[in-house]
Amino acid sequence: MSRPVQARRLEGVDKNIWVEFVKLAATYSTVNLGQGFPDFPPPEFLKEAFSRAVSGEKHMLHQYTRAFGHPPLVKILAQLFGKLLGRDLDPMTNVMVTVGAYQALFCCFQAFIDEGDEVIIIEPFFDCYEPMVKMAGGTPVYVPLRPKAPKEGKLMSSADWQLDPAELASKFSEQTKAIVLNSPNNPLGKVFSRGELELIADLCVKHDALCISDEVYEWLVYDGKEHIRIASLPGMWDRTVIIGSAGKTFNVTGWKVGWTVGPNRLLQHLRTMHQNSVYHCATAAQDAVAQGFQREFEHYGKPDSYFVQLPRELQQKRDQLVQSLVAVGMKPIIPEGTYFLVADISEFKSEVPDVPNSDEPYDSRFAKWMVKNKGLAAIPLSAFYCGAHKNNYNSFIRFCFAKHPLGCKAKLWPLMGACSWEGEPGLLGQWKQHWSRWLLHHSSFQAG
Amino acid sequence: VSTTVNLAKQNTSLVEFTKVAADPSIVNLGQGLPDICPPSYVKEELAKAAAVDRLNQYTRGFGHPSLVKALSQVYERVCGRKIDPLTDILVTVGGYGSLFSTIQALIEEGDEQLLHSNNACFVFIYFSKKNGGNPASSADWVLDPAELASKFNSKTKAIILNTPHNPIGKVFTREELQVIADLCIKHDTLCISDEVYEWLVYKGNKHIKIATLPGMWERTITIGSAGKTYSVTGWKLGWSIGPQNLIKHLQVVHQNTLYTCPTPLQEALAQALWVDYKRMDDPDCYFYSLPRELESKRDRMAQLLQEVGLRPVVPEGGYFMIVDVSTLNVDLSDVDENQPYDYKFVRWMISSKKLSAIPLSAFCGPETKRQFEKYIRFCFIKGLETRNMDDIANNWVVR
Repeated sequence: MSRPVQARRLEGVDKNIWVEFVKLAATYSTVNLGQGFPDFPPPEFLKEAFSRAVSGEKHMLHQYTRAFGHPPLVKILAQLFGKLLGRDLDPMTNVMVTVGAYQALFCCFQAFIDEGDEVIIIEPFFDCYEPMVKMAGGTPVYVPLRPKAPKEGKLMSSADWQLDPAELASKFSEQTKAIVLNSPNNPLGKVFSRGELELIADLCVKHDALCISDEVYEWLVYDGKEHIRIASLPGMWDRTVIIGSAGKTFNVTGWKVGWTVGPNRLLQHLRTMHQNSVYHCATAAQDAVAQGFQREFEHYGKPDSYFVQLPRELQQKRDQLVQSLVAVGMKPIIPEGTYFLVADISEFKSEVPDVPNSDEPYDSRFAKWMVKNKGLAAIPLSAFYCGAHKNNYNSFIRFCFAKHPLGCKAKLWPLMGACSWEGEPGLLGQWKQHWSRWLLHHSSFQAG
Repeated sequence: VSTTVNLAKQNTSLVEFTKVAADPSIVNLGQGLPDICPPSYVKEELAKAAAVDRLNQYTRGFGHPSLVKALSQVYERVCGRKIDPLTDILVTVGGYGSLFSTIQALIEEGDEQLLHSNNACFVFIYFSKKNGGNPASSADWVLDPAELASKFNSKTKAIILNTPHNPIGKVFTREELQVIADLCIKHDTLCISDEVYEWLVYKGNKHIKIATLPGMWERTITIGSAGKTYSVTGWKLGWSIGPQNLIKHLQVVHQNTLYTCPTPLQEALAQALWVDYKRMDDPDCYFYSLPRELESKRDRMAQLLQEVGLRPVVPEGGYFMIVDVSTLNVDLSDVDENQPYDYKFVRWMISSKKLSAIPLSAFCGPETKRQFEKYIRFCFIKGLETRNMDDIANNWVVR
């Protein structure tokens, strides 16, 4: 072919951090704290529901279901989110099921963004927002969360990373079609406060902008914090699409069941996009997720609710990881939510070779060195910034702590040798050997 | 709302008719979904996969390793060439998802594309009846070579081929494929070959992959579907196979649209493919036993339709049959004039005969709707027990 075979819409969206880092993890890592998926099982009640859907009497669960969402699933989602938002939701028009939250995001950008439209993205951001906006012909406009120094003697929290109100306001223009909000935030773990959400909401209303609200980690909030849904703020329901994920809610990232909730005037366009891209989502998993939600709806607020137990369990893992990172000389930023934690590595002594004239950010080189030499996979924070800003925050790495309860200290042993250790080399050597055998025996499946 | 959505709004027919026919008192022979059971080993493999914890988490974005490996083996055998599982295959959300990824990856504004489109301008070529008259078989529907050639020009980016064809059921012959291939090579055009019904060919017919013709592998994306292969449309798994220099662009679209497909389904499909791969020389292989089962359903349905006075066009492949309803001469002139006859006929048939089908003009572009408005499409991958068949026949007799 003499002209390029591919369409122009693919320009600038071909690189993908996950394709690269997942491959590295698959090749080198023994301890994968990189990609965001849990390595412990989904709840039994959900596995049973899937087993019933697949092997039970209803063999039609192996055939197409309703394109915009399997009826039992959209019904329970409408009930649950209706209760959470304090409004009556119609399962047929206010809810649409998608192939993971990822496809929900894609439908939103394709449905609402045209050439010349600007979309505000808060940095650091889940990396797919940028290429999706570009593929839709839009222009991303970035505004950073800026870290404030923590109180004396305390560790930094994700709450210390904040938007500057004047700076945020300056990013809204005549061309602003939408802002993407991600709370709880991946990668920082920030849970936006009511005040912060009101700031965003006021600007959306003032500029008649849409809000694409990625709330996949809505149940993973710690320390008694509350996840507030921006759609429940005055003036926001009518201009917001809420995105959720069964993968993150129920620890089944491999099922790829997500959803959108919002007003019909917005969802009707998502339906059009959906019916022209994938049309239907797989049936059996939708049926099982519906049963899972039914169970949770009945147990809502009770101690045995999965939505209560899961964050409790993850909070413990978070705290263990924080301790371990402090012990090896990294400075963790304590996340208020999600199962990610970002650590400052600027003072961590490492053997990352110096590469003069490289424009690859330090944290990316560090992460690659770490996985190849220490077998420990994590993701550089610069991956969550646009090209122009990658070097602004290049000494942080992101860990995922939704991992098997063998104690995060053990998971970090590969790093022990890299820092100055004032223990007994002999004992340390023995300990390392013992753990290395144990870890290799127990290492979980590396997605690749 | 974006211009993308405005263009996309045209495709609503199937959505509308699916809703109407969801009423349980109506025998639904419209939408193409099987109401026969998938083979038991397929369901068992899914149950087994879901019981493994790590198979409930993300897998490789472009396709679960064991699945792309199994697909490469099956298709290496069929195509007689090496297929690299990592670079020549993309797993997608159904054949539908493959079509979407392919068109998003390779077609843009200004490109012409034969047969179908979202953003590009579409050029339709339609079947004509061989020797005029009333076709009795899908083989009687042909493309006129001169007319086809006249549609190609320097702006033609791709042709979309569907064989076995939905809705007509035509299985393109080698000679017919060669005509298309020659034009693709002459005009440096891509071929998007939708072969989701590839195993469903009936006696006397052979499915030929256009990608195996000389000069075609490097310019063809071939699309397949687990839903149609294993009667599991609700799994929504499909694949695109082709040369790395084309597939890589589909992979870029995929990583920016859904990133990865569900893991347990892919693992189960991989295991099912291995079962049938090992018996590809055996008549019990599901790839051959399913079409045998469907052929007898096809014949029973054709007979029934003739008995009630309709004229079926017997398909060479696929699980759809189109039927000429003009023989009944049902007067629907008092109903909305702007609707094509077949839309009106189907609505009339649903309410008075409790039977649903899909109007053929739903599959046509605006210029040709009127030419095909006396046909409706039935699906025969259905239980079709004797009781149902009797009901259908009785409903027709009582007018």
